[in-house]
Amino acid sequence: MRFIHFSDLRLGYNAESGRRWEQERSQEISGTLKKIIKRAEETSCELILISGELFSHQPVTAELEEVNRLFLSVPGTEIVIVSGRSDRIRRNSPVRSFSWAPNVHFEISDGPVKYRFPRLGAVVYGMSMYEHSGKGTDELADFIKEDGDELLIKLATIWEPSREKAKEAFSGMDISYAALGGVNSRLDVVPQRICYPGGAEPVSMSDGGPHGIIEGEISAASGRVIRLEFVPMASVTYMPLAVNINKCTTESELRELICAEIEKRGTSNIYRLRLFGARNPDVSFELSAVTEKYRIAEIIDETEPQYDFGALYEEHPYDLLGYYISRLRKQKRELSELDKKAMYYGIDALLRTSGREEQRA
Amino acid sequence: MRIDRIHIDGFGRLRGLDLKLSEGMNIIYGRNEAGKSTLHAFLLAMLFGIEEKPGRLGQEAVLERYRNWYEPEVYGGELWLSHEGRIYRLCRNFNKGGKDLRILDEADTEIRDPEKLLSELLLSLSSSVYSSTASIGQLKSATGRNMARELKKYIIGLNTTGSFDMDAEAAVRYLSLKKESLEKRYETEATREYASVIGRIKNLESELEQPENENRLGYLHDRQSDTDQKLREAEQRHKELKEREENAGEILKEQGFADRTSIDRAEEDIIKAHEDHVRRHRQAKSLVPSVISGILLVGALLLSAAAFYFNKLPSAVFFALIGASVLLLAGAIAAAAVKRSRQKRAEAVEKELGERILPYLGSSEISENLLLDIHERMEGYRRLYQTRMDALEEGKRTAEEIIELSREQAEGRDDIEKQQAVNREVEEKLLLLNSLRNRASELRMIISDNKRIKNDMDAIDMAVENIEELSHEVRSSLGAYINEEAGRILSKVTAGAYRRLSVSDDMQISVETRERSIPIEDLSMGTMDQVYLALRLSALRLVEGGRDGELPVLFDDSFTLYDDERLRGALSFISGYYKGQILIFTCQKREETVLRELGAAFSSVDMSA
Repeated sequence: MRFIHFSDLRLGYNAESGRRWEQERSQEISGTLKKIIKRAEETSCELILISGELFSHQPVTAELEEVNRLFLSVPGTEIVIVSGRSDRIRRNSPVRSFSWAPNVHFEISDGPVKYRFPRLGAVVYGMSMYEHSGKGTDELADFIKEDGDELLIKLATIWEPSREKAKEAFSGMDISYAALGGVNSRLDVVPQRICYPGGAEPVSMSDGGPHGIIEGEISAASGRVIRLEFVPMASVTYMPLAVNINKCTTESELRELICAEIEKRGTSNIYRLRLFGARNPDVSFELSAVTEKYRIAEIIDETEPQYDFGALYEEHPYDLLGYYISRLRKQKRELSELDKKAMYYGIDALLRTSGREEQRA
Repeated sequence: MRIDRIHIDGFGRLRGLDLKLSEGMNIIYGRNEAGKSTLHAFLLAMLFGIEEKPGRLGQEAVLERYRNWYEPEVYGGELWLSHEGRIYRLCRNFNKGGKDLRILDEADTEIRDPEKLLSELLLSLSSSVYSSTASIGQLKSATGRNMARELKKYIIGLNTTGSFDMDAEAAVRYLSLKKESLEKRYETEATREYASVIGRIKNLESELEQPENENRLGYLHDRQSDTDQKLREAEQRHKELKEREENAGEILKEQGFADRTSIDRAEEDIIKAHEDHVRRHRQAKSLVPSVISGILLVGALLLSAAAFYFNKLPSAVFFALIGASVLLLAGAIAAAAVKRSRQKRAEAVEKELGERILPYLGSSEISENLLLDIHERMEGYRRLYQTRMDALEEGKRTAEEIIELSREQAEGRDDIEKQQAVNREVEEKLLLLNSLRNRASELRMIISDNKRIKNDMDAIDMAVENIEELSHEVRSSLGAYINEEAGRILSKVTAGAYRRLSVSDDMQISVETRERSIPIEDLSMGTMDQVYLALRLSALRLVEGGRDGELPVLFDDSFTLYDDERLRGALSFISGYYKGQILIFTCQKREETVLRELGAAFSSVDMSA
């Protein structure tokens, strides 16, 4: 039996709220679901397990309908859904009165549930997160233990962010595969048996690494997993990009460097730019051309203007600038970040407004 | 240090120029366009080198500006300097770079560390300090008012920053502008909006938690189908009952049975009729009349026979016999008639009875079991009647049930509608909740941006504070000194006409004569020039730091606006005041003339020669 396992897609999560590409990103995430279904179709997948947080919030009817339409397009694939924390079922959830396509199985109840698929020779035990319910993985585990079923392929699915708990509950159990959700990156609790696929799409800068789905095959004869692989699906990656600046770096050089790096690593990825080093104090980095073109979530400027204080002091021994520098030098304590910033601002202002150029030849 | 000789290989418009200078006062005469400023620039370039990198604020490299016009590769020259009894030859080839430097001593040996030596010779002054003190131009402004403004700017600058070109006020203004542009990016409302958005989110969440928002639509639909089903069944039952009742009613109506008593009566009638029939039948069957009739007939016959047999009969007897036989005959006929009528009657009754039972038994045949059959039939009708009554009764109950269920159905529809409305509201709220959450995370970003901006603004505030504080310091130490010294110089230069320079706390500048205080705006241009001269000389004294006269002072067209008297005063003062070498660049002959009149020692060179 061929199956796909994914979780934490978090449809509707607007991670890029307020940014220029927020709409695009939402659409990309919806697009990933389409990709997954398409892949299911192409690989004649027989069962899809969605182990939690398909939605990032209580889905409304329109959202359910959209997803249902997609599921309808693969009528030959059974789809089992459980809810996670963000999309947990509550008393007021619209999902309670939603009628799904016949191949979709999303039980709205508080407690473990069993789905039988004799055609596939498989039984799936699952449990959704239900508000205020104290029930957890233990209840599902007990339920599975007490249930006897002659079908050979046994699967469990639940959203359980604690890998220890998952391990405790499922490692001794006689099941073919435990499809878990709730951990952001790909993780195996027991390889090929108890696995987290990780979030199908990354949602923040801390979500590095590849994101996608698990695809696998379980032998109908032995009930064991005979193939399990990770298929990257995410359309973007969050990437940190550190750029070292020195005294000679000009604004246009920096721009070109950043553009080149981004073109190389992927223009649809989302970057956090960190500039560090000592820059020429006369140069300021105006990077709006770059931020307009690419997806730059943040620019952290850790550069410091490279003033040659010794030379400056020599040039201005008797005037305000000299006083400024000598006073700073006299400071016994370490300069705080604020002090340093104030100093750079002050020196920059004094130098820029001085009329020395007129005195030169 | 003293400049003894200048040789230019190539610099700007000058080429192959050789000038000798002496100690003390030197007049360097050159007509306009002769290249005085180029010479001045050359001296500064030779003493301090030329900046190779692009200047601040994107100026083109100064190095290119002075490249020799005629032979670009010939770019540089030599200065012979004497210092503490020694003579040094300073050579620069600007082709090799703006800082190319060689110094040779009297024996033509290259000094090992020329930069160090040169720095010593220059009292460690940098080019900018030298330019703003020992190299004295003139106020650039053409009109009196602008001149006053310029002069004021210099005085204040000098007072507050210790230098002519540093402008504390301008720096502070620049910083304020920067702060303003930061303020524009600062979203002041963000924190407040964030708090309100979070509040709204919490409210919405708790609203959604209310029990009336529970989504019972599934349950309500199930319940409604149940009710629908029950109602359908009830209606079906009712229909059946009605049919049954009607059918029974029809049958009973056909037979004319409106109620139970009518059935009873009908049966009674039939029983009676039957009894009647039986009686009459028996009666009819009775042989008695026949027997009587027969006897009578026989009698009649006998009598009549006797009458006719016995011929001698008295007529009376004869007639009696005949009469008797007639009577007997009549009697026989009567008896026969009775029987006949009895028979007829019995037949009629039988027929009637037959007719009576026909509707019930389907035939008018009168059988032995007639009464039993009739009774069975009547019982049947009675049962039917009961059935009808039962059906009516049940029908009533069913009708009530239907009313009840219909009400439930209508209520159920209402409930469903209400629940759908609630669900719609809940969905709207969920959408709103989601958009609020998005806004909240947007605001969080803005708030952290704000923090960074605030940080920068605080740094700017601090910088402004620092600058203002320091300028006060500068003012109180340097400012006071400069004003005093400048006042002393001014007094000498103007031969006591103007004695003091004062700068008030609010930067009002005035000079004092013996009688009164004159604001600087009210001075003549010539006087302002003198004040400027006094300032430069006092600044120079400051930077020399006690080593008076060790640097050559350059006056570049400084006295063009001076009238003769002032010129005399200035030159006389300078030659007495300054111990070191003085180079006066001029395109006039006046300075020479005045110096000669003063009897002051000086030498002059002509650039064009």
